[in-house]
Amino acid sequence: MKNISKKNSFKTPPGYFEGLSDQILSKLQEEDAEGLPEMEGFAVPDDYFDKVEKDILTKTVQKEGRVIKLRPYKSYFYAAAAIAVLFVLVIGIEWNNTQALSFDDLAAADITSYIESEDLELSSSEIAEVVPLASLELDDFMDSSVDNEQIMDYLEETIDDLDELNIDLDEEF
Amino acid sequence: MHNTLTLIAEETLVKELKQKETQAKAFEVLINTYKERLYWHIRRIVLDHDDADDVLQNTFIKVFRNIEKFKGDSKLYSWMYRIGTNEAITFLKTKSKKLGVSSDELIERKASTLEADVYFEGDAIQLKLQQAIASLPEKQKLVFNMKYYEEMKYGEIAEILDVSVGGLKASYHLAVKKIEAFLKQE
Repeated sequence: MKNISKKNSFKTPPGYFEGLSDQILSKLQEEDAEGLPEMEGFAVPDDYFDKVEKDILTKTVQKEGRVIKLRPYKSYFYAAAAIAVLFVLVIGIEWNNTQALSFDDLAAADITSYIESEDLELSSSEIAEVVPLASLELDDFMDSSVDNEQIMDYLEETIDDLDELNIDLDEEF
Repeated sequence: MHNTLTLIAEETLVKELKQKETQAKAFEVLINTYKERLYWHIRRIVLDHDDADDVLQNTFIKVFRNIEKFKGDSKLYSWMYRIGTNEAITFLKTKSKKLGVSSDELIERKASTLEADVYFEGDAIQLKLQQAIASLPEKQKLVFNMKYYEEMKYGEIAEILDVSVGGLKASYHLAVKKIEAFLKQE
């Protein structure tokens, strides 16, 4: 055995290992898909594709390309009159109003509905950055309120040495 | 992908879409060329016809309004598919948020009620396949549908989803394995 060289006598075609992973994955995919049904079963209403084309064109091209009336000066007159009335109204209302609008002027319901309807996807750390901890109460996170007695019961059950917490039992939570 | 416009035809169409005088006719050609393929792509994501119709129309409206922003870095159909995919996913997110469930839960619910859908004519195996696809994570679901049903090349899928070809191959393989396991249950 000692006289026999350990040199590998086997060879592979050039570039064999470079394309191997692709070949295996392609083969797996061919085998994978065998036996799965090719049809999906989805259907559409009759003439749907003709109708949808008209619907889209009505909402885009035809909407953009609507006919402009002759004698456009009339519309300029109305527009100028509307701007003048608005200008007078805004100046009139805002003349003595020196207070600028701020975030506080928004109704809480408006903010809630905005957050619910928009796709904000805020993470908990992002919320934590803008909401100060001091302004939060336990009840903000819970539907039912927890009284002090229940909190003490919980602490007694879960904490080994309650005295280490140095809780002043007369203190309000 | 079959029946797409040639590169030259696509470039001409984009030019026409950007010019006011030729825009209307070009947009009609665009809708005619892609409406069915985009519809089926979206339908496989949202599952029911009414939602697919909403998303398809919104997709074409978005394409029309944003054609000026299309710079030709990718193919026109890839850009449209990307808009369609994003619209469908956003649609599901918004709808699921209103219902107080996750997008995955919503799609699994939809798949479980497909039997009652008047626009679903599949048999028991096709129904189960849809439920299996619905149980996949979002990316695997997209890759499986685009590869298996839409017969797209990995390069095309990668351009639309903006991911690597290697990752796509792995996603497809995993998806098929999971679907097979799902179908073998019971």
